[in-house]
Formats: sequence, C-alpha cells, structure tokens
Amino acid sequence: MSAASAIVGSVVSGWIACTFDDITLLIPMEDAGARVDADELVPSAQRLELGMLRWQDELWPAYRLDRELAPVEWQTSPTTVVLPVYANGQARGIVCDQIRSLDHPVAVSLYPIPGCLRERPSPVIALGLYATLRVGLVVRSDSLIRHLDATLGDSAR
Amino acid sequence: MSEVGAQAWLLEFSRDQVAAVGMHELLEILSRPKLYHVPMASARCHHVLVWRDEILPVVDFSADPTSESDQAAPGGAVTAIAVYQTVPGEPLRHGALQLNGMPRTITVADNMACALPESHSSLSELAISCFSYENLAIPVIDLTRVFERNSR
Repeated sequence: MSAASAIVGSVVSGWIACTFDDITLLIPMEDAGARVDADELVPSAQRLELGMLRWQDELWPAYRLDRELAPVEWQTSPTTVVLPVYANGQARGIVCDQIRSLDHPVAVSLYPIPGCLRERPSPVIALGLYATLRVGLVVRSDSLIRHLDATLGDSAR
Repeated sequence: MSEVGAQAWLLEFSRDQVAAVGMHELLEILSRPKLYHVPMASARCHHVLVWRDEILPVVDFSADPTSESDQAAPGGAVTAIAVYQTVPGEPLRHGALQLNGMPRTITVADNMACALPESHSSLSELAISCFSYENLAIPVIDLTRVFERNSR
C-alpha cells in the first residue's frame, strides 16, 4: 500500500481537486463520479439544496459549501459544476468553481495536520501538495457526507 | 541564559503581545506569502503556507481567540519561519509566526529573569520563562507548544 493509500485508508488511483471559495478539496478518485453540469440537476425546494443529482435510481442533494465546509445558499450559473461523491450507498453533490483530475496517486503529496490546526472534529484527514506547490484539503466522501449531515441536522437526508 | 547574556529574537505579534525565542529558532522572514485557509480550525491558527516543499501552520497571536469568524485575514506584516524539535534526536520541524513587524535581536542575561505576569494570558501557557526588558515582561515561548498542540 502506498503512503497516500495508508493515510486515506484504501487504494488511491488518483485524485479529484474540487475548488470553491478559494479552497480546494482533494478527494480520492474512488470516492467521486464524473462532473455534472448545473442544468442536469433536478430542481429542489429545499433552501440549501441547489438541486438533486441522480445516482442509482435515487435523487441526492447538491450543496455549495463555504470555507468552513458548511452548506450555504447559492445561485447557480451556466458555469456551475457539481462533483458527485459516493459512500456507503449514498451520494451528495458538491458545487464547485473548478474540478480537476490528477490522474496519478502520487500527484498529491500528503502531510499530517499539525496539532495547532486541530481545533474541532473535521472531515479533513490530511493536507496535500499538488500542482506546483498548491495546498489542498484531503477528505474522504464518507466523512464528508457525515459532516454535511451533522451540519444540516436531522432534517438532512 | 549565561551570566554574560545570550542573543534572542524579540517578536511583536501585536502592540501588547510581545515574546522571545532563541536565536537559533528563527530561520527566515517572508513578506506576505500565499496563505491557504484550513476550515474548522482555531481563530489563532487557521492558515498554512508552503515553504521549501513543506506545508507549515501559520500562527497569529494577534487574532481574537474567541472569534468564530474565518474572514479575518492574518494581520501580520511579516511572517517568520521558525524551527523546533519535539524530542532531541528527532527531525527538525518548522512553523510560521505572523508578526507585526520585523523581529529584532536583543541580549538577555540571567539577572533579567522575572515572574510571568497575569496579563500575558494568551502567551503565558506557552512560556517556559520570562525576562524583563524595557519595562516589559517578555515571555520566552516554547515553539513545540505553539505548533504541536491545539490552540484556542
């Protein structure tokens, strides 16, 4: 198992860099699907859901997140792109400004989170250096979905 | 600190937050490096920077530790790269400190030692000693405590 795989807890074949509000999530390719355009989303009446994406014959909400990884209200535009993330039979959509594929496991160098940055429980499991010294936040889809559900409260699906 | 005095860096985090570290504990000064936000961290430490292929935490003691806002950018004029060692023999580690201005060197002698005043609340828990300089009590901070443990 590679160093990256050891940190994320499973085999990683590559990464998806998903950027919004000047932060970048680095998600193992195994946890994410192909990008979806905003006009492919099914409309939703829920305030924080920008629409629903279809996966395994079910509809799942898509959210725009702020810099603290909390869902926020957002106006979609023709350039809005959504990254589907999957875990444990569930899916969510993350609305991004940019989605980029890093097609190799070592395209991201992983670093542990220093103690002074560990204030609260967080879905971020490591920091990653990619693409000529840019910094991203390494997350797994299962912990991200759990975090979204916890943030939204029991009313989230 | 010897009888004849030892050199130290005087670090001003804000007008009323001043501390010192040893001469060997600062490596480099950066002017407004690119900072990356880390969510769900503390007001005092929620940024990192890239330095020599490493990702370093950026600690800003001038930030309000009670603030929940992540909008306040670090107010430091310069960023100092610090070096520390958690255990003798272990590899050196690095971190970054946001400062209000350029650090300056001072000479500290044993007869300058003093008690840590209550007013240094945010820095006192990080201090390993204290000395008097220009009518101020200056805590000497332990960089391992600064960078390795949770901050609030």
